[in-house]
Amino acid sequence: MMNNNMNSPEQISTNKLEYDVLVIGGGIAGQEASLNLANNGFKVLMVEKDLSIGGKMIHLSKVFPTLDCSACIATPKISETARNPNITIMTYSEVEDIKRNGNGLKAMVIEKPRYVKADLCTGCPICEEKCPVVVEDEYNYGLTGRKAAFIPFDLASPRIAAIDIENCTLCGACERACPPNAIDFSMEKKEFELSVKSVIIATGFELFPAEKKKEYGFGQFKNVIHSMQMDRLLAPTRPFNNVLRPSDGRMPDNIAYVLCTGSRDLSVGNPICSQICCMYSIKQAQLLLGALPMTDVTIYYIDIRAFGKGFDEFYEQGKSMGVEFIKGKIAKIEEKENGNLTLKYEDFENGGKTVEADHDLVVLSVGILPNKDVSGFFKSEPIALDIHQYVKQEDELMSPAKTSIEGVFVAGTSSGPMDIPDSILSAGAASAEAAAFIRSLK
Amino acid sequence: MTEEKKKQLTVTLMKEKRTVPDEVKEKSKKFVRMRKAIKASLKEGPKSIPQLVEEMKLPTDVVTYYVMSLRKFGDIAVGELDEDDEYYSYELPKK
Ligand SMILES: Cc1cc2nc3c(=O)[nH]c(=O)nc-3n(C[C@H](O)[C@H](O)[C@H](O)COP(=O)(O)OP(=O)(O)OC[C@H]3O[C@@H](n4cnc5c(N)ncnc54)[C@H](O)[C@@H]3O)c2cc1C
Ligand code: SF4
Ligand code: SF4
Repeated sequence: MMNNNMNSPEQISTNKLEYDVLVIGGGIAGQEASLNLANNGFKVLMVEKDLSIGGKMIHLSKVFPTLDCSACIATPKISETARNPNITIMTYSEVEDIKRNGNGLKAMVIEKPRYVKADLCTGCPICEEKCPVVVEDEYNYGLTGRKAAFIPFDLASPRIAAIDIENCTLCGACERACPPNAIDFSMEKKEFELSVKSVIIATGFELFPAEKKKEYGFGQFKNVIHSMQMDRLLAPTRPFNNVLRPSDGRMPDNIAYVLCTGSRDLSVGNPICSQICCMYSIKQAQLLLGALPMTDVTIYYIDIRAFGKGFDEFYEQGKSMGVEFIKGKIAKIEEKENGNLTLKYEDFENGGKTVEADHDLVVLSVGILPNKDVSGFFKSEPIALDIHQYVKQEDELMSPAKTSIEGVFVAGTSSGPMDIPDSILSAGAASAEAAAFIRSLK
Repeated sequence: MTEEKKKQLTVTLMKEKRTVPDEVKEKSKKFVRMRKAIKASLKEGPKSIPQLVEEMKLPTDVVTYYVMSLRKFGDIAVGELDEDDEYYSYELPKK
């Protein structure tokens, strides 16, 4: 279990904050940028919107192409970030209105109430056991429920509870049961005025909402799931006891992947390639063949983009393990009475004729979209976005982290689709550019 | 709980500020009902999701969702996989 962050805002006694760098977002890119700066003596404030840092990576099963356990790599880094004396982390907080302030920048940071005192909560989790309300668990993408008093997820950092006030019946069971009296419904939002010399945007990406591709039936057919749900089903901290169908808990034996769901698709307003879906789908297919040896896995693709180091070999490895690849475009998915699904597709290798195939679980390999929060940070001096609404890199070749605002840099998938190694590289560039910028002010 | 501790509960302050929506009350009732029904049924012995569905006369996806949630909360445990490698059984946790 990870220790709770020692530098939490509970220790901050004033509402005026001063740091060298504000890092917005605590995913892998935000952590890497913060650690680089902190280890070079800069004071960093990391502001994370969620109840825990970790971003998407902490929820993944394994990572392509090495198939290392994702949490095993992510957890030590999260711990290192949380314990670094030069990094202060504010979770469940948001940044508003970043403005120029002489040589530096100032901003408002708003910390929302979690109704649990961070310095008292031990993560026991008695409140969770006592709470009588169950709602969809967002960290398992709705596959299971969670309580209204809840620890976000097993590997959360800080590992402390929160109360989902919107779904709370105010029964008081959690407060009565909490041994250290950590639950406090009188908590209110707090506002902080922040001065910094530089800002790094590391707010990551959004998943393409699969329900937008109506013809695939996501949200309507229980056995059509998206790839992040499958990564959860394959993770050691998985929501089910194995990879099972959400419709009836049966082990699937004939799984289909639909690549490019919501990518390279003008009909849903996202014309670009998401760069990661081919590889994470091949990763999941290999993991499925390991977890369910009797299962067939078919990947329907338009073309496989295996351009990175070791990627083509990873694709070949998938084929040799028995993953079937069909070059075809899925036009429609229909549900049968037993929850199985019929895929109607244009078979590119057979003259484009329409073919039907049955599967008992379908995974939509959803693409990634820009995080629209970024524009909201800069109301008085808007930040430039590229034509796809990612943060614009002003000098992609020579200074890849530079944005349109002096002193503001970008890291990871905030500037475009990329995998974990590239997000780390990009965070390295952002921290180096921010450090050089701060030194130039002296 | 003493009268004094009851008075100190901060949830009473929140009750003055917020009204609980009916749908939240309904969610709570539904979970408590489902937990009771699934646990009562499993008292008779381990059962698979189709067996629970048959008994409870509820949609299979609804039963699956609650069985998986109860497993996550530690209210029920996983038993054996059937001979056809299709369905697991679920049971009350061994004390
Ligand atoms: C299904 C799936 C499988 C994948 N598998 C792999 C794999 O095997 N290998 C691989 O290399 N890559 C994989 N990826 C890609 C990988 O997830 C990303 O490359 C990586 O997570 C990018 O990190 P990031 O820090 O840029 O963004 P994120 O992980 O999105 O982190 C962004 C952080 O910023 C926070 N944030 C957002 N908005 C705000 C705000 N307004 N204020 C404050 N904080 C905010 C978020 O809560 C989050 O903590 C996969 C992606 C998906 C969808
Ligand atoms: S709030 Fe109290 S009961 Fe809940 S996890 Fe923290 S210490 Fe335990
Ligand atoms: S007060 Fe709210 S969060 Fe606490 S146990 Fe009751 S419903 Fe759950």
